[in-house]
Amino acid sequence: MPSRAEIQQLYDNSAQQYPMTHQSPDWPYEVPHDKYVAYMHVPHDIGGTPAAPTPFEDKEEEIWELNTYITCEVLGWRGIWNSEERRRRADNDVGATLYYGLPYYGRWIWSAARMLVDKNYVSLTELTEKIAEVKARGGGNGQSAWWNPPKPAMADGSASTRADANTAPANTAPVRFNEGDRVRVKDAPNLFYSRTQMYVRGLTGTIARRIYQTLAPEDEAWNRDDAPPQQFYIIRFRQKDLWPEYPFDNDTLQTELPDGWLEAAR
Amino acid sequence: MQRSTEHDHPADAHDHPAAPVVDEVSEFEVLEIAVRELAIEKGLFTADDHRKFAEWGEQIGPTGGARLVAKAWTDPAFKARAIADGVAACREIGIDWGEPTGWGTPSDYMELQVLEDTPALHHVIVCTLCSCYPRPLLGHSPYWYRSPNYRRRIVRWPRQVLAEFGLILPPEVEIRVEDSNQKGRFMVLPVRPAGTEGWTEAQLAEIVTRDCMIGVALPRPGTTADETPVAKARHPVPEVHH
Repeated sequence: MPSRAEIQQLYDNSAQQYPMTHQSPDWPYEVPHDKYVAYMHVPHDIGGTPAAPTPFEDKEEEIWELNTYITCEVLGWRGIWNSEERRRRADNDVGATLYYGLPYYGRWIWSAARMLVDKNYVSLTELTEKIAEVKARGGGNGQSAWWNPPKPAMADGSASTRADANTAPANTAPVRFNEGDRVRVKDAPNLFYSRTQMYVRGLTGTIARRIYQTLAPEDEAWNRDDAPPQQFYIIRFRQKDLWPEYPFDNDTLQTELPDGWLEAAR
Repeated sequence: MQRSTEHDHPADAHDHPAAPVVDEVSEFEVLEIAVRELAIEKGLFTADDHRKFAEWGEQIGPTGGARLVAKAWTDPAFKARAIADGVAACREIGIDWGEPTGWGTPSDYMELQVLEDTPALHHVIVCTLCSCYPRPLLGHSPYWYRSPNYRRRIVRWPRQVLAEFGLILPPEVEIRVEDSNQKGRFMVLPVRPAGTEGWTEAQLAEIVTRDCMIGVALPRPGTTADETPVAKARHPVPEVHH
């Protein structure tokens, strides 16, 4: 079990893995453990990493951004992917360079395109030909109509629906903890994807509320509907336990975690 | 955060004629059209599916949340129901989390927790992993909410970040950050401010802005709009009226 200082060091190292132009463009024979862990850090998990203050502003939505949101959601509606897979692909699997390099919804639509190719719904040849065709007819100059789809080649209702996607599974998962119980978050290794933040790992908090049962994100992100659902809880932590330098005694933080990431605190 | 130079500013600031508009090609707009058309051609979804979802996605906004807060301020029994079961309470004020598919949107799930502030407790919401946000109740999230800067800092330096929004709270008030990292969705039920005695629900709803329900601002009599600046879009979504 690494110490808090060691975990913090790994965490800070991970934050340094932004586009790595400073590194020699060749492969090492080996990497030391701490560097391996830093590379395995899932890129979307950034809570608690330092950044300088920046003015906070909103931005009006572009037409293509709203269309991207809708296209990605309709793909979910019709069972082509679920939102956990979408979050994995768009927020995590893109790698750090694209994560910081593309606009927010740019990552969404790039990931939807990649998903359609990965799952053999569309070949890469078809996709690149379609992109060329859209460009040739002037799409993408920002002047296309808000709603201008071609006449659909099919509308026979053959698209699958996914009516079960958001319904809670039967409450079959074991419920090991009750409100007020003290639990420790496991410090399991990162590989590929997780929604358990680095900043709570290895730390102890209190069950604030027992909530829904559903698949663990690590299972649902690969559509493992055969995996057993888990009980989820809202866990409350003292800020002073999360961040040793935190100056205010009373402040707290809550987040949601599944049963499999928890163990009873000794 | 990405900065835009295209903020609203007085039209008389420059007297030279506007340069001719030369549109950059948006690679993302091309990609979106390509993905959408291929999906329709392959029968993955229909144009009607897209249209139906768009009609829903255009009209969501924070006024639903404001009505929920105003009703909770004036009706203690409703407030208790909202805290016990947020999705059911939304139905009472005409917001159905099952729309537009019958089982909700793929990304919003149907799990809403209403977090009640007290004089001694203040909540603020973030999703450090992406941008989870209660769309059916508050609409699309503001850009800053999705930004790495907010997500990095609010969990560890919440008082500094809140101060940058103009919200300074005394140390004896517990600040509780809610990191919305899974399927739960959250909104803040702020404390009803002084000076609103005898107001109607409609009057109260006017001062409950989006930022109040995220927890980066407090409702105040006389303040009916968020104060964070808004960068302009190059090709904004046209206004829709329903």
